[in-house]
Amino acid sequence: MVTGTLPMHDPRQRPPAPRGGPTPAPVAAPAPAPSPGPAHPPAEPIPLKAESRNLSFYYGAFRALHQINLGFRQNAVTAIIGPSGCGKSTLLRCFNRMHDLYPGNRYEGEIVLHPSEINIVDPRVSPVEMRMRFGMVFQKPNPFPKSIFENVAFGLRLRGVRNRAELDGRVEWALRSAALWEEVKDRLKKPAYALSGGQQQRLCIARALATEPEIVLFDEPTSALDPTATLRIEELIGELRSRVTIIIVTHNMQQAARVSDYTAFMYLGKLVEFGETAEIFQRPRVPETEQYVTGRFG
Amino acid sequence: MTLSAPKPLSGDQAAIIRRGTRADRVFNLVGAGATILALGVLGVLMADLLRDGLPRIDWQFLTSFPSRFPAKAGILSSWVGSLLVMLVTACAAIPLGAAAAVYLEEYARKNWLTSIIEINIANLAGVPSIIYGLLAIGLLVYHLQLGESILTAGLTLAFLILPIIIVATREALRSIPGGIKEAAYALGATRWQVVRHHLLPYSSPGMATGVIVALSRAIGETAPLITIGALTFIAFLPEPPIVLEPELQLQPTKWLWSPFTVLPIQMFNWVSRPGEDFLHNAAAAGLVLIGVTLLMNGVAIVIRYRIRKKIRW
Repeated sequence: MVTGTLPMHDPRQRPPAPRGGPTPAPVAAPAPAPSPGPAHPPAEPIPLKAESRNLSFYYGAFRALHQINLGFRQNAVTAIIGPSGCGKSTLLRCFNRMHDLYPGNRYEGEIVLHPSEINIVDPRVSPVEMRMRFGMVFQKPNPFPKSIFENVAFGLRLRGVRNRAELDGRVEWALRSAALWEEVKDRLKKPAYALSGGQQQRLCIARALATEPEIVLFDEPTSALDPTATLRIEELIGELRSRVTIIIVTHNMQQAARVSDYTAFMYLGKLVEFGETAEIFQRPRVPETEQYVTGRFG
Repeated sequence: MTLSAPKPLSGDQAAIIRRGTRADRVFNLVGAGATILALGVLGVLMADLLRDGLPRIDWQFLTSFPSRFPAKAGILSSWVGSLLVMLVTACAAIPLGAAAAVYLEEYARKNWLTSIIEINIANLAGVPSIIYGLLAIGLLVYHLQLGESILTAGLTLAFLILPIIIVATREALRSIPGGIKEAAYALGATRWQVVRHHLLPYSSPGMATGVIVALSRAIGETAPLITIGALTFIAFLPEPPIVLEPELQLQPTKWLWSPFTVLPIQMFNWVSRPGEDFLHNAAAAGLVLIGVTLLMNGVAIVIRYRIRKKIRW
């Protein structure tokens, strides 16, 4: 199998099965044909991990998402950009059903998870199960007021890991994956709040990775951090993308350009344009996208 | 159109400043006077209690039953009674209050019914305590046949302080940042797991403070206990849970059914007796009561401080 510049080592990877049925063709999902552009030319299409089909979302009577059709490639980083209030975080929080925590919220359409073909936003699908399968990193570092170890171990304990050696091993693995192990290995029992903001955010990433999620959702993970800490998180996302599907919401366009393989531009609750990141930033097809990525509005 | 400069303000600016400064000084005096009056009355009260009661507090006073001779009388049965009633109150009120608060904050749907419940809980905290006495005599003494016992007294006071504990716990729960809750949910926790592993531990300092403030109110309550028939003269202690003589016997709940008295009732009894000496006994019992209350408030502050140091966000 010939791979492009995208790291693709996941054994789960498989060619996309032809979709049957009356599902509407995703409007903005990228054409499976290789694009002629120079950046990331996939020699063969990367399979989709998840796909939203006519997804709409309502906060009470307010419609925050309008018919979003968007595919998310497996083991790739997809960035969602757009001005404040465009619905990018709302879209991200549909994946792990965070909206279910608050009354009056309603989904329409579907987000299909491949290969199991589960519709994530189906009310009959348990939100707890979806949250078990995905990890989330929030805008503001939000470690639990517990020890560093307990922060990472909590998700494992929820999944019934009791064995001490196994807990230790998995916590170390997660902290190493989040590039935090060397800094905290001698003080795992110390409270998490004693860490710096950037370390706290990497701890939150370790917490999300510990349970080996299928998708990691990043909701503006660096907006509360200084440039150095931001750089480390971005490097980390780069290292993780060969192992896990990543969706990152960011209002920082340079960040999207640096870390992502694909970029979706949203405006006023609608998907305006989706494509390979280089395409979106260098040759956007829609005038609004061009105005946004060149900094003329937003 | 350009903005033209306004006319200079009319009026004597210096006089306005003088008037303002004078009002400032007047309030300074009035405020200081009010503070001195309030604290002064309290100070005189404490000094009077100390002068009358302090000489009377000794080992004999703490370990003797009441007596018709003021010099032989003591507060053994009443401080033990207060302690046991508080134990029952705490054991009943803390789990009930915490459960109700968690339910209202995390589980209940927000609708008109929960709004009504919410308003009423706040109001219940202001209901005069003797009303709780009436409720207790109807429900606990006559209907449930619990008798004029430590159990009845403890439950009555538990009802009394339940609203305080619910309100304090809800405040503590609300002060937990939403981001931390969302982080726990995002890891796949169920509502109960979030409550059990996060919300309850993090709200415990606020809850502990509320509980102790509530208990220090309950320990001074007299009216509802008189209503349910607390005795004023008790010359025995409730039966202990373990009896060694003549043979080993376990009776872990027997003390709950025992008649009882408490410190404020003992005080009330002594105040109503003729003679200066009984007044001194009352003052001494009052000092013990104040001491216990101050101690409890001190413990609340220490707990809050120590746990707050550990829990931070």
